[in-house]
Amino acid sequence: MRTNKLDVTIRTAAGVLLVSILLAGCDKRAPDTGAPPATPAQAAPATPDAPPPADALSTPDAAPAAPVQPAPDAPPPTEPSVAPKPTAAVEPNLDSMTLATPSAKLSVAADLRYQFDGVALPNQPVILHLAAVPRVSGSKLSVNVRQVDGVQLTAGALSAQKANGAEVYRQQYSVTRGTHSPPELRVLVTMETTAGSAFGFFSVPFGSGTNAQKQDSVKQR
Amino acid sequence: MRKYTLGLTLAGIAALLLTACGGGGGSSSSSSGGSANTAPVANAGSNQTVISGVTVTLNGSASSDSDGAIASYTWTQTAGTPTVALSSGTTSQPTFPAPTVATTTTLTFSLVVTDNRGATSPAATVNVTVNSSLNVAPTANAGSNQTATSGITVTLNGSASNDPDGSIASYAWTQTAGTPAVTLTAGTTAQPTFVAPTVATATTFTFSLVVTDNGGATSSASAVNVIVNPPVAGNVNVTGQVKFARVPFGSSPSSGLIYSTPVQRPSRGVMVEALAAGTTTALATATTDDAGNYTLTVANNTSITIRVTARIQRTGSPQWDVRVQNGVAGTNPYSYTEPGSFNSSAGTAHNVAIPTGISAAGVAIGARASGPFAILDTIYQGIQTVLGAAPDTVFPALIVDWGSQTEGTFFTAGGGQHIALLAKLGEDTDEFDQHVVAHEFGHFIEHNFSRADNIGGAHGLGDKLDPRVAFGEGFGYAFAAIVLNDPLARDSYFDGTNQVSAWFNVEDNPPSNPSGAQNDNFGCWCSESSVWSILWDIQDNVADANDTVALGFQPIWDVLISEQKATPAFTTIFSFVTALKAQNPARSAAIDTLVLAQNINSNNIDAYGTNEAHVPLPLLAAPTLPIYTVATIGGPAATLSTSDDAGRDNKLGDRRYIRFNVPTARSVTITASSSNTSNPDTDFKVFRNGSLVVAATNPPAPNESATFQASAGDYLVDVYDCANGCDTAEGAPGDYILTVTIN
Repeated sequence: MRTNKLDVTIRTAAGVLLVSILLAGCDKRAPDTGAPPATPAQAAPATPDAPPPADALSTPDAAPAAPVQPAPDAPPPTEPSVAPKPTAAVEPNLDSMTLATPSAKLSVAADLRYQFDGVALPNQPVILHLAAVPRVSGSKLSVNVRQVDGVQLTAGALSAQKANGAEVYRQQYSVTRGTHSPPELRVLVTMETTAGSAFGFFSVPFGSGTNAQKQDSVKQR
Repeated sequence: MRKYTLGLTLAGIAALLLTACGGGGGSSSSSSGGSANTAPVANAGSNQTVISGVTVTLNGSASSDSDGAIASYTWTQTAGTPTVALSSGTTSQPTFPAPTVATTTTLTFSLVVTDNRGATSPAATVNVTVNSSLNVAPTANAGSNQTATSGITVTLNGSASNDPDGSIASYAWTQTAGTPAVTLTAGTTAQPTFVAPTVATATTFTFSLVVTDNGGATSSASAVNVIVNPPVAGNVNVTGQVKFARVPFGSSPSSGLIYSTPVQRPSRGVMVEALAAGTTTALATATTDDAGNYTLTVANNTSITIRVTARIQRTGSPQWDVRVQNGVAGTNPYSYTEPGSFNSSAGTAHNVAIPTGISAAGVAIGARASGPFAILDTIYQGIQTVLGAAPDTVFPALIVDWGSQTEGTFFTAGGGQHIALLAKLGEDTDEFDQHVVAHEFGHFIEHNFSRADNIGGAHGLGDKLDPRVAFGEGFGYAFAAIVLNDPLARDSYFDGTNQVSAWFNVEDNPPSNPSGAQNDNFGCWCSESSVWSILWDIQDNVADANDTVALGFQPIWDVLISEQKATPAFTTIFSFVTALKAQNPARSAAIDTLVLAQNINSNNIDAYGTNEAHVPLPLLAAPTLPIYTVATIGGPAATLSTSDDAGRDNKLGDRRYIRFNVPTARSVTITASSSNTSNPDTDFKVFRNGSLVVAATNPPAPNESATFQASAGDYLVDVYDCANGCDTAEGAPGDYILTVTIN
C-alpha cells in the first residue's frame, strides 16, 4: 500500500482550511487535479438508457421488444428536494476508506477508495470522499461520478493531466439521494498510459462497508 | 506497506541469510544432523522409435533426488551417426529433429543430473531409433457416395483417411463436378458440410479430397459423388441469406461505436427455421453456411415466417455448440423472428436482416436483436482460427450470457463453461467489441486445450501482475488480435457524453529500459502487455525492431496443447517460451531477441524462470525473486517476502511460489505462517502439474497446515497472506515475511 508522506503531512494543515470549505472541490494534499470548484448538480446527460436487451429475446418464441417508455400520464421520477448543504468534511485516512469494486475485464490500473461521512438517507446530503490511487504512472486521470436519476451531486469530475503512481488523488462530493434512487453510484475512472488508454466503472454502494469475505476469484477477465 | 519496507526487508534479508547459511553450506549442516548428501538418480526416459524429420523430445523429468532437488541436467549423445543438435543440453526435456538416415540408425544419449548440493548421478542412457524409411504418403478417403434432396445439409466424411507413419495434418476438399458450385463450410476439416442446392433434375456433385500428413507428404485425390434430387413433389426450397447488423468503430483508436452506420455481415453457422405463420411450430430447420446462406424445404404454398436463433452448432469432426442467452432468466438462446410472413412458393430469395435495435444516437429503440449474432460471429471466427491449426477439434459446449443484468465480462468454467458479456448500453456493452469477445473466447480455448493456471481477478492496463495472470490475460488479447487479424484492441464505453474507446495495440512493445519514471509500463515477465506483444510478434509476419519471428499461429497452438499443458511449473511466459524454443530450435536466437527486449531472460530460460533477474519497479527484489523458491522436505524453513506495492490480490508480489520434490511416495505436511501481526491469515495451495493437490485456506488464522499423501514428483506451493493475496483483503495489506516448512 502506498502511504504518501506528503499526503500525510499536508493533511493536518489542510484539514483546518477545509473546515471553511463547504464543498471541497480541491484537496491540497493531493496533486493538482484540476478539479473545478463546487457546482450545482449538473443536468443529467442524455444517457441512452436501453431497454434490457435480453428480455424480449429470452426465448426463441419471443418477438422483438418495443422500447420501454413511461406512460404519458406517469408521474415524474421522484427527485430529491433541494438539498441543504452539508457541513465541511475532513479527508479521511486512506487506509480507512473502502475499496470500490471495479468492473470486470481489463480495467484501469488504479484503486478507487470511498467513504461517506454519514448514512446516505433519502433527501439528506452527505459528503462522499473519493480517492483514486493509480498503480502505474500515466496521464489524463479522470474520476467521474455518473449522474443518475434520483441522486443530486455537487462537484464535477476530478481530472489530472499527469497521474503519478505514488500519489493519491482526492475529490469530495455532496450527495443527496432521492426516495427511489439506485442502491449505488457508478464511478468512471479513466487513464492513459504509454501502452494505451483504459477505463473502469466502479461501484460505490450507498450502504457502505461490507464484511470481508475470503473468496478467491475464479473469473478470468 | 511502503513505510515499513525498510525494516521488514532487513528482517527478511537477515532471515534469508540465516537460511542460506544454515541450509546451503554443505552436508554437515543438514537438518537431519549431518547426514551425507545422497546422489541423485538420473532417468533418461523410455526408448523411442521415430522417422526422419519429426521432432524428438528426450525426457529426463523422472530423475529424482531423495534428499533434495535436481539442479541441472546434462545430456550427451554417446553413440550414433550423425551427431544431432539438441535444443539444449541442460534442460530436462531437450528436443532435436530426427536426422535423415540411409539405414535404420540408433542414437544413444546419456543423462547425468546434479542435485542442489552438487552431487552428480551415474549416467542413464536412452536410445532413439530413427527409421530409415522415407515419410510414407497418407491415403485420402473421401467417404461413401451419398444421395440428398435439395435443401438438405450434406456432410462429407474424410475421417477414414489415414497415414501409416504419422497423422493427417490437413484436409483439402474441392468440388470437381456439378452445377451450381456449392459453398463448403469448414472445407479444410475432415467433415465439411454444404447445403444441397436447388436442382431441376437429379444432379451429381463430385468432390475431391487430398490430405497432407504431419511430415508434409500429400495423398492422391479421393473422390466422392453426391447425387442431389429435386425436392419431393409438393415441396419447395426457400432460400436466402441471413445478415446481422454490426456497429463499427470510428476511425481513430479512441473513438467509440458509430451506431449511425451499422454494416451488414453474413451470419455464419446459425440455426434458421421456417415457422408456420402465426405459430411457433417449426416446419423445417437449416444451418447457414459461411456466406450466411440457408435453404429450407417446406410444402408448397405454405405461409411461413423465418426465425433465426443465436446458436452455432456442428456435430461430428470438428464439433462445436455455442449459444447466446440471457444470463439472468433465459435458458433458451436468443432468436430473431422476422415480422410478417410470406408464401413458400413465392420463388424469390428471402433474405433476413437482423437489426441493431439501437438508434443513431445510441439509444435502444427496440430489441437489440443483432447483438447475440455479432457475438456469435466473433466466436465463429475464433473457431476457424483454431481449426486452421487443428482441423478436427471438438469444442466443449459454451454458453454466452449477455443480458441487462450481466455483472461483468469474464470467462468462468465453474458450473458449465460460460462467457459473460456486459450489455449496459448507457455504460459499457461488449457485443460489438470484437477484441473483448475474442479475448474471453481465448480464455475458453486456453482452459480447454491448454492449461490456465491464471488465478483471475481484476487487472488494469500496465499492472505488474502475478505471472500466471500476466500470461493468461496476455494470451487472451494476443489470441483476439490473431483471430481478427487486427492488432488494435478496442473496448467501447459511454463516458457520459460520447461513445469512446479504451485501446491498445498488441504490436506496440512495452519499452525495455526502466530508467525514468517509476511504475511505467516497461517490459516484464509480469506484464500482460509483454505477453501479448511477444505472442503477436511470434505470429505476425511484420518485422520490427526486435522481431524477426514470423511463425504463424500453428507453433503457438502446438506449445499450448503439449508442453504448456503438461508443464510441472505454473503456466507463465517462462514455461511457454521455453517450450517454444525447444519446438523451434532454428528460430531460437530470434525468439531470444524478441523476448529479451521485454526484460525476460530468454537466453537461459527454463519453465521456472530460474535465471530471471529483472525486478520491475516499484517492487523490490525480495518479494519478486526468485520466482520459485526451492525447498526440500525436512529442510530449513523457506522464508519469502510478500508485498502489495504493485497492488493487491493478483498483482506481482502478492503470492509467492515454492517448488519441492518428493522422491518417493510419502506423507507430506506443510505449514505456513506470516509476520503479519494485525490480522494474519496465511493460506497456501499445493499443485502438481497444474492440478490442485490440497488447499489450506481455512478461516482467518495466523498459521495454516495441511498434510497429504504425495506420490513421487515435483510439487508447487502457492503461498500468500490474505492481506495481500486474497480477493477481499483481510487486515492491512503490506510487506510481510511468509515462513513455510515442508516435512
